[in-house]
Amino acid sequence: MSADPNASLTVDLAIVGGGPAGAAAAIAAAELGLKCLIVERSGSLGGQIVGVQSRKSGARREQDVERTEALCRRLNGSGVELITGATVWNVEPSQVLHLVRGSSHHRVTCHALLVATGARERPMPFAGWTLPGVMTCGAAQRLTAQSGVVPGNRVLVAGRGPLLLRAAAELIEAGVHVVAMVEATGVTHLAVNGLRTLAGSTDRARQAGRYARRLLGAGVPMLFGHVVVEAGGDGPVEWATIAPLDRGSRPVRDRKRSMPVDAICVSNGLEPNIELFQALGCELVYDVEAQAFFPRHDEALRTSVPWVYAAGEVTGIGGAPKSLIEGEIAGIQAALGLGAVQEENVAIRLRKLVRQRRKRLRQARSVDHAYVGPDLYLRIADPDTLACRCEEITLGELRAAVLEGNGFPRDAKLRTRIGMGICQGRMCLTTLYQELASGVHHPSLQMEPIRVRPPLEPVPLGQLAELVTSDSDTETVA
Amino acid sequence: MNEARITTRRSSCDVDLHQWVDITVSGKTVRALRGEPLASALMAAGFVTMRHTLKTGAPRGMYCGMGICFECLVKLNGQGFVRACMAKVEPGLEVEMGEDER
Repeated sequence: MSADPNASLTVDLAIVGGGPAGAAAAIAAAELGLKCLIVERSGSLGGQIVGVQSRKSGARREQDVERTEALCRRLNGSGVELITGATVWNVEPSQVLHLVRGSSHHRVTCHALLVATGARERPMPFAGWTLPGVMTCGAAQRLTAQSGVVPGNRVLVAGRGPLLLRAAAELIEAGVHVVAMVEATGVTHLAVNGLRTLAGSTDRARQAGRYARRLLGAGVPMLFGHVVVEAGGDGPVEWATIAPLDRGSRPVRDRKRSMPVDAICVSNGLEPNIELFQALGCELVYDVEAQAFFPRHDEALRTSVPWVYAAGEVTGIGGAPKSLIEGEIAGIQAALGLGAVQEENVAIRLRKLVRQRRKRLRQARSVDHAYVGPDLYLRIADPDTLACRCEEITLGELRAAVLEGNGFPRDAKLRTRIGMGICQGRMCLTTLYQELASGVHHPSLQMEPIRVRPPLEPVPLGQLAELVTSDSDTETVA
Repeated sequence: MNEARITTRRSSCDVDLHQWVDITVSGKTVRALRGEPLASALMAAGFVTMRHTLKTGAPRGMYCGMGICFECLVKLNGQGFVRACMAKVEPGLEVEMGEDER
């Protein structure tokens, strides 16, 4: 069969992304009789939340990590097919996915598709953020978790948002020497806006308290209302300059101070991986508050394309608990959509899940409100700061193009080449959309994202030419 | 020389991959763990700068660590350019990258 170039795998439900949402969906749908396939980009299931965790046996596990891992274990013997280390590089409207895995190529025909591709860390432009040694907190955590390698010997953790404290605490636990944690949100802002969040979730309050105690215990200064304004070095990063913010959220110039560092781990929150939705022709909506595009979806997690569902961080950043609920909903809805189950048999279960989801969405919103917005770093960045790392376009150049242009993202792209580099805009288009949304030209709600074109991920040219279809690398989890 | 760097950046106790293998990085032999991301092996050996940009020659290294940013592109013999954070260490791997190291 593998020698037949026309051979293709056909499943009821194809799931792209083996994180909490994908795993939960596979289990729910398989239980209802659907033949499922999970396509996972990395080498193992669990998603980023598990990937950044230490595999050391005695390592502390948060509840969301444990639940995700338990779910992945349940996939054993569930009959769900799994292709790891594979990326979807193209999709056809005829419900065909093209995967590449190492040197093999797969063609998957599916009756329904769940896109659960999760999120990536938002870019955090500041002077010197392109220096080697400046990396995302997630990158640093994967270094320590997967290889026991520390990002550096004097590490500054800086940024904003709910993940920063957790990342700092987990890096310390992994043996990293953190010199300071620099959170842009001030204590007053956190106290006023965060109280509601904590009141709504005692779990979160306890968790945050535990992380803070870990930093205190390690003697790591927590500087709230501070930002990193510059990183410098001849080659890799050698120093960082931090400053407090004034009441107008501007760095106070005469209170800047510099410190020697050999790594800076940054976190500016998450943004969804939407490229597959774009390739599928799903309608995207710009969320002004979250400052990112998300696929339009309903409570059944259906997108604007009838056979495509969305679950997890791609529908709104809310963490693993929300993703687990959404995965289950999407799995059930796919089974309903394909007629594998009668509505009355799952109605009560679905109603409960939808209620749980609404609660998680409210919590996620209030967590967001506790912190300053993801555009804080953009607003204080020097015009010489790079907005596009691939094509080396500065924020100043981008802003000039936005001012001169007609307000459409595509116009700014043609003027500056932003988004045309090798990362295909994944590191810069968010910045462009934020600039446009804050500008005068174009109501952000009408904003059209820049189109994506296949290959969605790089594929060796030889493979594109061959297009050899093979099922030999498919493995059933057993 | 690389030994010292490995001990400074790597605390191998929490790694469940034990097999050490040799790879070559810009002509130097570097010890690495089989199956780990190439980027980790490079960082452990002190190769923080992984390339220089074509336009300005600015140094770059791993940023996102998850295959998104393409900053950690290095050349593998026979395979062309790969993302070091996505490539896995295999014995005898030959990596070519910018001369900058520390």
